[in-house]
Amino acid sequence: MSLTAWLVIVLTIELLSCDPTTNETKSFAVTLIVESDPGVGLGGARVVVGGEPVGESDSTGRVQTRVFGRVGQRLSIEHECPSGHEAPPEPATLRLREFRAIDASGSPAVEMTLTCRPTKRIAAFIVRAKNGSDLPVLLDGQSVARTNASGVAHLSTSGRPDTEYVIELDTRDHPRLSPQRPKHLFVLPDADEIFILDQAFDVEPRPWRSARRRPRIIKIE
Amino acid sequence: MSLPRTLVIRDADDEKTLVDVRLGQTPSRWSELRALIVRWRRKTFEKALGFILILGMSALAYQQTKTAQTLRAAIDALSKSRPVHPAPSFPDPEVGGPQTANDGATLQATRRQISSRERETLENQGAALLGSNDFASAVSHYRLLSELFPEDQVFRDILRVLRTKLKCDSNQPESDACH
Repeated sequence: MSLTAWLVIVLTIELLSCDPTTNETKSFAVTLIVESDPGVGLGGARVVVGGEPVGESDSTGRVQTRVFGRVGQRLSIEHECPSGHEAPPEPATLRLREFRAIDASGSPAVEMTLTCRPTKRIAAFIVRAKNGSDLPVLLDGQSVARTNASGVAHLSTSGRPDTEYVIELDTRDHPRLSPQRPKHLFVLPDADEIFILDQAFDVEPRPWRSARRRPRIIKIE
Repeated sequence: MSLPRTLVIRDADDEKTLVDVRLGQTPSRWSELRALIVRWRRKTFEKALGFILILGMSALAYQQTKTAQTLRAAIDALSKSRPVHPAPSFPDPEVGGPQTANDGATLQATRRQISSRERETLENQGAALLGSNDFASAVSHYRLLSELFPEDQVFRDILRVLRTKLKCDSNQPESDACH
């Protein structure tokens, strides 16, 4: 057999062995999950797949849709986050793949997670001041709370990740407390956080005063 | 009472004055009566003081029992109002679980009755739970605090952070700590 005949046979086998449906346009079930934090679904995010709006995420952060395309095709996914959240600057890309379920219950949906990070995070502070009852608590120099009779105070604020907070216990009205006006620095991570501030004060004893003696009248005879 | 029969007359002085010594020696009816009244007044005062003390203590105990009962009723109402299978997402973290009108009324009554001292105790307990990293117990404690004091944003914020930390609002099944 000549070389040309061999080539024709090989090419024919190749063509026959190829999946005839490869270039066919198919329908793919796609589930997009919008999260604010890992595992925390976020509702109200609008999702656009390949330039086509496919809907808004529900309270669990899910958007279920069907897209048409070829296996291996790449589709750009853009999403608009609800207020107070921001999407990463780079758009996500979804590559269409065909899955087969083991139990033959139908092809499972392609799942993809999208992120909408909160622009602000909660910073809650618990102040526990030993011997520090009724002290004003200053957050970045502003009085925002006061310790109770047991020296405990709760306060909270919100800010962008990496914000630095200075908590100060104002002891100006309590000069016998030591240390005076202690300050603590906290940095807010990219997550809601509770900071516990433990501060112990020493109370200096009152200066000893001798009892005032009454002037005695000495009779000189 | 009778006067001594014999009247002793001392020697007359220069001014020729006679002094009846009987008057200074024996108590009169009036002085005895006065002593009796003083005794009676003292006894009455002691009894009244004892009665007022007992009454005050009883009133305090009654008030404390009533406050405790109201608090207990509010806690029961809260625990009953929580769904057995909570929704996958926290419906309103600002307020907490669903409440009935009756629960709201009970809570209102409880809020009015909580003294600053009780609030201080609740705050101290919450701080101690967070200090010991007992987030599971802290969730229910701060839920109670945020429902008792809805005007204080800080308790709602702490509750929200705790729920996020325990992944109560995640898509995975909730842990028991979230209830």
